[in-house]
Amino acid sequence: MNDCQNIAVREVLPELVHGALSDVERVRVQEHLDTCDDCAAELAIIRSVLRTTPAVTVNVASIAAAIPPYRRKSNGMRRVYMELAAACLIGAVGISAFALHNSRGAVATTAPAVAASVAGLAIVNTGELSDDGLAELTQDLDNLQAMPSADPESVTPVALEEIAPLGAVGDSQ
Amino acid sequence: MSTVEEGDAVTTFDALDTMVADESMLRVRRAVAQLSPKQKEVFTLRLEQGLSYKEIADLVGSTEGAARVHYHNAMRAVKEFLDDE
Repeated sequence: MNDCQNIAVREVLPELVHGALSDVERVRVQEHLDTCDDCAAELAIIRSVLRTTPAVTVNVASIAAAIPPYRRKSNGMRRVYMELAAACLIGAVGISAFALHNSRGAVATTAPAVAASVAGLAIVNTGELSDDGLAELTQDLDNLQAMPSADPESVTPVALEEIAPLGAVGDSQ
Repeated sequence: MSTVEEGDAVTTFDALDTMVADESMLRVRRAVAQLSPKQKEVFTLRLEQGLSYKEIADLVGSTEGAARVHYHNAMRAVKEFLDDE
């Protein structure tokens, strides 16, 4: 079995088998193959190699067996992160407590004013009242005088005339 | 008494043809098996995958010219193996 000297044809024999040649090229190669025993023999070898190629199969079981078992990640870094978070939380609580302690002076100065403003309000927990106390409280509420009616006085056109027009203010200046 | 029919002759011929084909494939397989690892790799990629020399060179980390030389050396080795058997 010799090598044909027509390198151009021998180079494209694999493409011929895979159907990757144009129609023109395929006809040209086929014409050469009809007259060249060496290239025909080489083409037969190529086809035999393709036939001997085992079909590709996917062995799922072997793939699954080759996958290493799941191992939980080491929690070393996670522990560091948790410690950092705890440190930050403790720091934030400390700073908040410090700020609250410093602001108590201001609260103390305003506290009497607030107490005075609510001194007139009777905060009564009715749940602690006895029946007599509740009746007394109800009586007190009934005795409260309502706001006196304050009907607006009627305005006469004369009164409106006595009011200086708006433009007059600017003119007088 | 059994008679020989035309279909029987065809069947016998097909079986013989299959045996020859199987033997031929076995010889080709043995010829490819005796190639060097690099030759076998290039030869397989060229014939079975239909890759160009450039694609093979990129895959195996070589040059296009080296891939071409490996392929033709492999083909020559296969031919010599088949001739010697």
